[in-house]
Amino acid sequence: MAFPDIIPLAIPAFVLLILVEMLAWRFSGRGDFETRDAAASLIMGLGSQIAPLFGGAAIKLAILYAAYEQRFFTLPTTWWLVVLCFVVDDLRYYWWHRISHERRWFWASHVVHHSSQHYNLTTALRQTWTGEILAALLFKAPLALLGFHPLMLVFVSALNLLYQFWIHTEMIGRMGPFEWVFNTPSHHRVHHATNPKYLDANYAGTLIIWDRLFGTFVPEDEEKPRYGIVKNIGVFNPFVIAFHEWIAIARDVISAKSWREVSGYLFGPPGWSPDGSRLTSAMIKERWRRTDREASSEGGPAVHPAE
Amino acid sequence: MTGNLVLDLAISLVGIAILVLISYFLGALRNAVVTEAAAMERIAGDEPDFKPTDWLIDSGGKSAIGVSGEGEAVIVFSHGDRLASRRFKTGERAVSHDGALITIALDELALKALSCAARDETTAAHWVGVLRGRDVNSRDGVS
Repeated sequence: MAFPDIIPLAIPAFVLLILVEMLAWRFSGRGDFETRDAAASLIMGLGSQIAPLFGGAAIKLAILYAAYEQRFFTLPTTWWLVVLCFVVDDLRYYWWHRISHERRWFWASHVVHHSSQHYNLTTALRQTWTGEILAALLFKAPLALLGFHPLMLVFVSALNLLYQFWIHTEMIGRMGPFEWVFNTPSHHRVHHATNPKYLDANYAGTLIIWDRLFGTFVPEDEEKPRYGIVKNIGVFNPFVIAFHEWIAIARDVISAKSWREVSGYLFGPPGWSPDGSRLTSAMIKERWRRTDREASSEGGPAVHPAE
Repeated sequence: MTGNLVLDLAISLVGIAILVLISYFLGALRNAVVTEAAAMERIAGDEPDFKPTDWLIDSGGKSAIGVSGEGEAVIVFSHGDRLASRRFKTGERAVSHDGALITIALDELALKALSCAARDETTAAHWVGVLRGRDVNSRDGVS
């Protein structure tokens, strides 16, 4: 069974759909685009296709083949196994994605995808230029050890990525029973939102069942998502977008006063600091609950107007 | 694609350029204007426990500085058609002014500093004092 490289094949469809979404935005007013933001996202997408050619893709494949050589089972390459592999890989994606939000080392790569304050199909292409190797070693190699062929793993991951393209839009509202099982634009808007109630939710790739199962599912309600990251970087320069968090980590590690601080800066939650002066997601959620309670008890808005 | 990396790269760049141009001609190149209401809305989302007591709005609408009575400040700035913000303690950041233009050092990779234009040098000097940690209520006759 041959496994084609489907992402390059899909690029014309990506371009066409982005064009359709832009025109729909212009003439219907739904969704939103900003030229420099879209340009940055598209350049990041192009870079994400080029960056692995500098060795990451080869090392990743070598890791998968090395693990496959030590496999516990020899599985047949049949269509039903591809389906099974897709589901298992989707579960792998859920945990990789969750850890990418919960641990700063992984977040340094993944933050790229969340760095736009817009949510449209170009945002789907705003992908990292780093982070291939450790993710393959920790999350994909175990699947090769189980006996899934490396090329099948690469194929189903690409399928998953392809599925996630169309959910990056504000054009599509709620989707009824489809949302019970599958990740949808509504679910993923929540994932991209920085509103405290939406933070760290809906990590699913294709199947939203994983979030429902592991308690991270949050439905979209009347509160409009505010897209981006908690501390928006405020630039459109692709190189800054690609490397800003890595450089921030390096600066923090250099300034660390103990090994505890070093490990906290590297593997603690994003926003971790020794003295608690920065905010993690958990702290932001707690602040939101506290501010909300205070506002409720005062019977007015949480933020007072300027005097 | 074609299998030729250079050709693929060239085609991709042309494709990106076309999409960017189309978005431009559709009116997607926009800059947000920072008003007090817009800054308040941004802060309500970014820093819900920050209670501003006074604002300085940039005369060009590119940024706004807010201070609270609790020794903290925020700067809200435009980034494309959106706003972003930074919160800091007064006295924590290097702040200076050149005429009416106030500059706050951020020391970030992406943003070394942000600026905010007051309407005149006296107002700028007052705000620099406030941001350096002087009592926000001692207005020195500046309104």
